[in-house]
Amino acid sequence: MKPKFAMYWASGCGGCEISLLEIHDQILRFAEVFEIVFCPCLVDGKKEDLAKLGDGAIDLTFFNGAIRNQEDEDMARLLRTKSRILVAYGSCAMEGCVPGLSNLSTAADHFEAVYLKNHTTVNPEAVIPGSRSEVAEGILSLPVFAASVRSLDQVVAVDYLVPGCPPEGVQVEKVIETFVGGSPLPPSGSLLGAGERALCEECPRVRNVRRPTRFYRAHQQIPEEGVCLLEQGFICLGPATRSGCGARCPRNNMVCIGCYGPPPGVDDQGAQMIAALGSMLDPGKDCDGEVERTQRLDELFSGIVDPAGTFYTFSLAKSMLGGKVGR
Amino acid sequence: MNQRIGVYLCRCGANIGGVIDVSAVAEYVRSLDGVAIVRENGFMCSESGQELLVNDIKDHGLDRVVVAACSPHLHEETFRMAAVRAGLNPFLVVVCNVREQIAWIADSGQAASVRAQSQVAATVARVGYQREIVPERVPVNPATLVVGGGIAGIEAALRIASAGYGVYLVEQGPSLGGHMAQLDTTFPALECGACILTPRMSAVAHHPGITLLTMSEVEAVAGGIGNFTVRVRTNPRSVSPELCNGCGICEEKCPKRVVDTGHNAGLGNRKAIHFPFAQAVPFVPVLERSDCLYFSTGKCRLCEKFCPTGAIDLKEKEVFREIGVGQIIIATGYSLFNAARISQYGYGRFADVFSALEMERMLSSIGPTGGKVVRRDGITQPKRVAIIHCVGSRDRNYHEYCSKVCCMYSLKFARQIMEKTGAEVFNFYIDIRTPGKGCEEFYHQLQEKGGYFIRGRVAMVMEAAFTVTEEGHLIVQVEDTMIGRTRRIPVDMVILSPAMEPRGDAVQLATKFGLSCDVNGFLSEAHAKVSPVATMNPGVLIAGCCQGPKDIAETVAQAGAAAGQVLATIARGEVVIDPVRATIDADHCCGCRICNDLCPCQAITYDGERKISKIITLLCCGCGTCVAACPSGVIDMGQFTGDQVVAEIEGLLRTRSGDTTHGI
Amino acid sequence: MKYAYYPGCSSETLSSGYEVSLQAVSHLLGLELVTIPDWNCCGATEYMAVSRLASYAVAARNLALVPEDCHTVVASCSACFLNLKRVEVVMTDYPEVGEKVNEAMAAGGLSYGPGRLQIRHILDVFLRDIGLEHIQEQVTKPLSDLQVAPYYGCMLVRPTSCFGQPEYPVGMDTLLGALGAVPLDFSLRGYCCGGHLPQIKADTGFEIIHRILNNAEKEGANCIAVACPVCQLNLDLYQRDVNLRYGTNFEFPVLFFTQLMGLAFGLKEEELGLDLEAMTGGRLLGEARSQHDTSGYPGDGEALGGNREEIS
Repeated sequence: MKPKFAMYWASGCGGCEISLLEIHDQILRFAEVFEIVFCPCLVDGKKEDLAKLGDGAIDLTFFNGAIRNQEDEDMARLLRTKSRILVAYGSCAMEGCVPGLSNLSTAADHFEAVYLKNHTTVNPEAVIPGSRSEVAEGILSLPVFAASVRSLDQVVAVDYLVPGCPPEGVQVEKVIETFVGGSPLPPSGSLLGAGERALCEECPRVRNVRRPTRFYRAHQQIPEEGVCLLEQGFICLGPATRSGCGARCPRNNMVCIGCYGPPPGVDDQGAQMIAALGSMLDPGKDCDGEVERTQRLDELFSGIVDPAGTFYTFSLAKSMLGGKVGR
Repeated sequence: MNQRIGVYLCRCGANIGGVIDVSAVAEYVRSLDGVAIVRENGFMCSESGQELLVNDIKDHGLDRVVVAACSPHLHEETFRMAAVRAGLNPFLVVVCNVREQIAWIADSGQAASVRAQSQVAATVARVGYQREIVPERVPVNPATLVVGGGIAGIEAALRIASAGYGVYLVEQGPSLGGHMAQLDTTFPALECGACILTPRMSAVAHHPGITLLTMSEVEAVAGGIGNFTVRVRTNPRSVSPELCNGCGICEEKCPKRVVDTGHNAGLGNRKAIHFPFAQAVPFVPVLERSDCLYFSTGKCRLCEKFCPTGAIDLKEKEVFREIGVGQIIIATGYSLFNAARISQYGYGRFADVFSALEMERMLSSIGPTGGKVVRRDGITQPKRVAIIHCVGSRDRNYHEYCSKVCCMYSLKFARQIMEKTGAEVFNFYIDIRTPGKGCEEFYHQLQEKGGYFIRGRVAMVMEAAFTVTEEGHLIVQVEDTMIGRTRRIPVDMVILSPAMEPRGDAVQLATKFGLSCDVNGFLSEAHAKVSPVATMNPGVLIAGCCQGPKDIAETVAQAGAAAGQVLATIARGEVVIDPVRATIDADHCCGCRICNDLCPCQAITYDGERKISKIITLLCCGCGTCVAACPSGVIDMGQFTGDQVVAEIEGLLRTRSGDTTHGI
Repeated sequence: MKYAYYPGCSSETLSSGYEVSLQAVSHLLGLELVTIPDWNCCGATEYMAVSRLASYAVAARNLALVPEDCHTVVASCSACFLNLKRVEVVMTDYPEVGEKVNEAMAAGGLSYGPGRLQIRHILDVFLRDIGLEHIQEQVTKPLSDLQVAPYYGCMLVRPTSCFGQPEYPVGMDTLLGALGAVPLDFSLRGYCCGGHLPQIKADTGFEIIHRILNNAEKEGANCIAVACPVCQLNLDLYQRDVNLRYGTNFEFPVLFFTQLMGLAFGLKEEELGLDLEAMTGGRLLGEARSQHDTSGYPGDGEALGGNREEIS
């Protein structure tokens, strides 16, 4: 009998499902090895069918997407019960990712923005969806919208984590190999499909040990080819991000935005990067004395547009600071 | 973690016990995870307190110890050594400072007790993450650097060299001697200053173990005790000491005469090229380029033309040297308060107002007046002289501290002026402070000889006469607090006794050598009472007036003490490296190089082959800059590791119920 | 920056020249002075001795009337400056006194929150806020032939001074230098001018004035600059009496520093109230001027002061 595989898409964009196909022809081998018992994106299957399975009946589950509402949480618990191995697959499940940025606002704010203040929404009666609505035809229910977004491991116990938004094809292959290759499984709680250092180890750009004197956003300056983006003043999160993607963004003149999450040993990716910038930023020669230097650094940092989106695009929900990061 | 932590709460007599409810703290601490035993004790530092610790470690199998007592600067070593006697690694003992940081500063006993609970809980949480450390030992470079060629530096250098070890003596100016070389006589015995200083200067010059670098300044210091690397810049003297025979023709032929603001304190003149003073060591002229005609107009070169040995080198450039030494003694001395800052005393406004240093030069038999006491015109002997004490000292507008030596040197002036001129001398003082052997006696003698003493801070010195008798005099206006009246004393000459103050570059100097300055700007010693010459930077010692105002005898004593400490370390041969050093986790460093140029000690290098950064432990000063900067979190600080600090914070935020308020 | 301006009683009477010249040069320098509406006497020097609390309340009322958008009060008279500053400091340092003062002012529906206002002298504003550079830019007729004795008096610089040492202040010197004049090393610059002594104890008062004028003469002054109406009054008006009494021949023009600024800025004499002084500034300009009649002023020591006390 083939081992059973499931994949579920909670609050996320769907890119993780697609990433499974990025292993190209290996997907055929995958289909040969596993019996895909549940994966709304690939095979037909309902929640009821899943519920009928025995506990631990599924050998391996890739869970992607963050926990945004009650439905996500119910599915997470259900899949936890039914799966021997539960993998938080992709950045949303691992650390909240972009949905996690919504933790900067309350649920009520979200509803107001989406249903009441949105220029393209016609809602003269100011209806806000509730979990239970009585209509002529009967009672309709919707999943309860949670107060905050959580990562999978903030809801249920998780066996392995796979970072990336989405995980890179080559890494997905390696992850699958971990489970089908026959070698003993890594200890529970391990992070799979990524490197053991920060991204700079994979980055081909040269670091000249220059200190940036100001920050640039992508549209403000064309970066010098082959030279470290950070030292040119572009806020590249590479040194505070786990390697594994092959530094695809920096190779293409774009800063790393940190989708592989913090490197090992770092609890708070954003804070770590901010501390590094604070240390390495050069306030300029004309800044004499501690007070002037501090003022200049304050100026530079307060000039950063959208700090939460710059430093916490992926890790906010699971960061030490949580929702306490200012927008 | 399954640990057996022993917690010892010291009452320190009433110091801690009188403020903090130690029993309540003990009760609270008992509830903490891993705490096996909690004991209260009157004096943990006593022999019996230590014995308690040793026995408990052995009898109860303790593997971690927290001592809540005074500052770790005082007894950390005591408790760690006790642990060693019991077979426990010393770094598993942590001292929690509940005395200086809590008991002594708390507003109330209640607040102190609550805070002590949190602080001890924090230390208990941290101690669980302490690791066994066997500190590295490194051999000591027996060479020593002495910075400053005044009496303190000279004394320290001679002591160390006489024990057979090498000394580099770096002096900013062209000659050894410092301020002492400017003094005519020393108090209270009125002994000739030069006569006691110059033999020592000469001894330095001829000692084979001392490398004298005049015209030199320390540019940068790297490394730590045992192995410092010092970069020294030597400014051009423009005269080669090797070729110069000291004939003085250059000085004689030099057409540019300027005021000698250096050795003669502005009282006499000198040439652009000149001998620093008659007994200068080395006895080689110096060409002051800012005064020299050649350097301002491109013409002259008379000195070069007339020098019989070709010693003049107008193209000489600054030279840089790297020196390796094991220890450093800072003896950079003091500056004299600029009396012109107190404008109402008229220094710089009235010709006959003199500063103490001018007076020293005037009294010197080889000074600009040949030892004659005369008014600024150079001829007239004063009939009445005022000496104003505490100019810039004991004054909240300038320096609140007492400069310690001004009373005695003022009395010395009074005595010498009376003897040399027969003038009436008025001392205007706040208090006369004459401690020290023979000093009070000197004061009494002066009173008996007819010196006048008027107690009161002088309001101002003016030329505006109110009466006919005041005409043509300087008038010292003062409230005589002994008789409760304002007085106006007409005099011919006023001498101001300015404060000793830190050198203008004291802060930069401190930064360079990893030291700190006290509130007044003098260099800070490790402990005012029991460690007056050591600093918080092991291997760097201080001596003389860079540490605070003091007289020559005290300065020499400090220099001797510093030299003694240096020799003790050399004799030991090796030093234990403080484990508070940063380390890079080579397996996780990504080689981003952000830390590379941030290290103030230049301790970080880049391994191009492995593409990772590395820390040279010996050079690391443990400042933590790189730890904060590392975006990948791979740099850790010994004794301040991430898990230790986080545990400490969690312990601090723990409430009484045992929950953590922040689930970090 | 907007400054609340406290003119003080003298500005309307004896020292209207100060007021006129101050307004003229402030205008030129772009300094916006908003006169405190319905201001009253600061209490001068006497009231303090009569009733301390009442004198605080009198001074504080002026602070309470300062418009909300002003954070600095500027006074031109040294005594006014000191009184306003004193009540601000006292109310800040001694909240219990502050409460009483506010209680008194509550009768008039006013209150003052200590710490709200900075109290400054106009000379300080010229030096620090306007700056010597900007002042120098306005100079069209440098006062290069003037040897000025800068006279600060006592209240401007005590107990604390922002012009240097209380006994030897220097702030005005730098201003005079910027105007092209030569400020002299004048020892008695920080001495008391005698205040009201010429009216109360003439011998003492004239002795003090004599000392100051004598010192100015010894230093070679041909003009005295002042920053306070009382100083101006004493040094200027009583020169004749001093001359009579001491057989001296002083003829110093005693000008407010603002008048000297105006002269250097090229303003006309009448714009600066120069015709209002006893010893006029006219001599400075090399013109013969009709002497202002001083006969109506009190000043005869024999008539007013009976007590001839020697000052030590």
